[in-house]
Amino acid sequence: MTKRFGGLVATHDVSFTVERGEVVFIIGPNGAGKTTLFNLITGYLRPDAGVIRFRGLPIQGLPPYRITAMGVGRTFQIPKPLAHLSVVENVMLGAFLRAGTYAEAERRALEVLERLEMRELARVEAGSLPVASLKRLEVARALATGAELLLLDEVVAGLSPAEADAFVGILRRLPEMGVTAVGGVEHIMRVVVSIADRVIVLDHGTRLAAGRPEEVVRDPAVVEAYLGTKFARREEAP
Amino acid sequence: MSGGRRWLYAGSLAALLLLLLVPLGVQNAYYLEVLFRIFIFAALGLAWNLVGGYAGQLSLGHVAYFGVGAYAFTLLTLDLGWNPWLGVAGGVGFSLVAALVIGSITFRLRGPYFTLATIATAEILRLLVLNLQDFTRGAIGISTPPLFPGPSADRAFYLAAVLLAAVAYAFNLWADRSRFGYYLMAIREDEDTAMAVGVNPARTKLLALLPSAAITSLAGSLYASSFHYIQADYIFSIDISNQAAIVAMLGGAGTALGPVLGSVILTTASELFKEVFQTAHLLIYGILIILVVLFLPGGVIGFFGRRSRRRAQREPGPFAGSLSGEEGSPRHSSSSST
Amino acid sequence: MVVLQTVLNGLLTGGLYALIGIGMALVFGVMRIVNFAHGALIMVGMYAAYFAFTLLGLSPYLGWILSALLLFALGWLLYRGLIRPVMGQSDFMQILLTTGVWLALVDLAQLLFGADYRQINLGIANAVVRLGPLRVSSGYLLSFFAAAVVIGLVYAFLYRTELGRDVRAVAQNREVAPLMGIDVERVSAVAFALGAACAGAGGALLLPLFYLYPTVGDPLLLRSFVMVVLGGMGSVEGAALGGLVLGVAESLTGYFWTDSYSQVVDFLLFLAILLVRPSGLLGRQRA
Repeated sequence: MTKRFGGLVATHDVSFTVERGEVVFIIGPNGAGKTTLFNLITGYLRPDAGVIRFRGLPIQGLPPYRITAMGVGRTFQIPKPLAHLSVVENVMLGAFLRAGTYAEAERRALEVLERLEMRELARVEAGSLPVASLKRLEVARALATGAELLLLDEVVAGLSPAEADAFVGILRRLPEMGVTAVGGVEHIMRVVVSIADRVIVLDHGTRLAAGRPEEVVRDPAVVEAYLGTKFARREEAP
Repeated sequence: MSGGRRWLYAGSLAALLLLLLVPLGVQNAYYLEVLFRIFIFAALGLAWNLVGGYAGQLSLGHVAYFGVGAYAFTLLTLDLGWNPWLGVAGGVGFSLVAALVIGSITFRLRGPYFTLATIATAEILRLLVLNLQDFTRGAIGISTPPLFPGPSADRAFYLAAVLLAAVAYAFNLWADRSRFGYYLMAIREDEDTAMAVGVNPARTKLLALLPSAAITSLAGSLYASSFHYIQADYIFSIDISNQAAIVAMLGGAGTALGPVLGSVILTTASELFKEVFQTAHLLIYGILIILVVLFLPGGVIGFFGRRSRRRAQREPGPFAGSLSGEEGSPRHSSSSST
Repeated sequence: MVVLQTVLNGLLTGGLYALIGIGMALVFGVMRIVNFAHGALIMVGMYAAYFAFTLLGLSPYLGWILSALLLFALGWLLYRGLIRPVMGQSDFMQILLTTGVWLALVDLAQLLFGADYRQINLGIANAVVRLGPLRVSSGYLLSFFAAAVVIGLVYAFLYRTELGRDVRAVAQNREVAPLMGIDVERVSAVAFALGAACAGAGGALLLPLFYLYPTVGDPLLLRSFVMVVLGGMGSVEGAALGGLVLGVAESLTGYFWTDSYSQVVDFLLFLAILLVRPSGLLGRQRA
């Protein structure tokens, strides 16, 4: 089965395809169009032209909740949990999509928390979590909807290097759970290069390069336009 | 089910049984009337709570369903000769239709525009009822038919109010522990997030409004009959909408126990106040709201809940700063093309 | 000719609405404070003018100054004491808080002055002025012109003074304004107080024309929101135009249909604008 996306972002043509079980990173600085792209795919924005296919079916123009129900999950750049509910209750919010009863939703939610190694936080009030855990909670909630494709906006923004490593480590395990992951990050990072099947570099709303991380890193256009400064300066350092 | 939850259900059931036994001990008509009002307004607050508390949609137009319930019951019974209880059911029917119409208009708006639109729709109904004189007797008002004939009407009205409040309370308890309730809370927190877990906000809000309107309508019918007389200006008064919201906010919006507690406090306080200042007992409402907003944004429940559960101090309550205060279009982004 | 007369009557009432609407535009449209106490503030202004007349013999056509000053002070205190703590919080909290202020003020008036309908008898307001074939009540005419003067003053303040410029700057961008050296808190208080003062002056100018009772401002509350929405959020001119439109619309409804439905038409207009053209009649479309 193939998932194909071809979306037109503003006036710039962005088109790419993600295969089942892949981990793909979309890389681009702030304003490059990552969030727009995610919003287009998940139905929060309507493309002006172009087709977005999920499992071969066009989904552009559908409302976000329908797209969620079809199996596309997403996280938001700024996590918005139900602050006064506990972590597990927040994850249940996602689980209810496929669970008939309260008990079943709770069971599914605990399972997801277990897999994301945050079971011990289950009864903690979500509003009191630090950013890193909130990001993980967002992933848990999206996973609990039974998503097969997960779009993770700004997966490492606001995390310390160690937290980012841990987080990306979780993404690495998503394919084992039968989940395809597309993450958005600002810079090519060591961890990203190490786990990504492919990366897609966005700049000013257009696709600059795409391919295996080690190829993209060598792509002259990428190096010149983007990596030349930032990659060398910040991301090579451990 | 957690242990705390089990105690809550058991305690609620015990409290209900106790409340049903009250008329055996209390015969005084005045006390029964005050108790009736406590539970009518608890029911109103609980009904409002589904939309205003759980789903976070600040309706100040709930009196629409109250008034429709009151008038439909009265007119169906008097003019079409229906059995009074059938008239009550008819009122629920009309209120559900009204809820579908009002909801599909107002839920497209957000923030203050939603609130204003709910007031506007309720006011339109008030003015129509006031002016369709052939049909509603207009400003003169109508005497309402008795739902409980006989000498023990006071007790019967009290019991009916308790049962109605109990039904409304059960709906709220269910919202606490069900997919539907969780979806409402998700909508309150952030509609974008709600859609990301598969919630259709417009449909879900409308579904919450239906039981809310039905209960409000029943309260309106009961109130109309117990009062023996209705007139559009006060049965459709925005004071009643306000009161439903205040009762819930005072006790703790978005909690099942909150509106009940709020009604007990508010009704009792207003009765006591009435003894002192005959005409202006509503003054206390204004002052209470101001105090609650400034010092108890989570209501009484929020205050004690936070203490006992040691909630984070910076989280003042479900509403403080959490609703979309975004500027710009009064409409929901999902309904406007981008 | 009758229609023309009807339109004229509507315009005269509309002038008063415009003043009230401008007050709301400053508070809601410009400062984004959802003020449900606006109608109650009008009522307070009306009582102030009433007592200025009965106790001091001051005509409302001068008394509006007193009402405006009093309401400016009250608005300032309200903002500082009650509104500021909920600024930046959800609309929900603002609506509840100002609803509390509304109920408290109305019931305080009830407590202090009773529910009686009061009226003043003002000679100069009871004459009929002929304008060619049209006839106008002198009271409406005087109130209209006085309202126009107040609107002119507010306008001059906004566009001719530094403080007025600051108000407009804060309205445009609350985040950037402090970078320009503007004391946002002070400016917000001024804008709120000025909005209240407009309500007060409006109330005083209504006094020669209408009965006075504690809930007199309630129907004007929703109307003033209607005017702001009609004119487009954030537009003071728009709200003034909204007031005139509302006055004429009500008057025409009364002529072609019946007076009692004029408010229904207001509200239908309001819902229609919100749903169909949320940027208002004059509206610049917002992003």
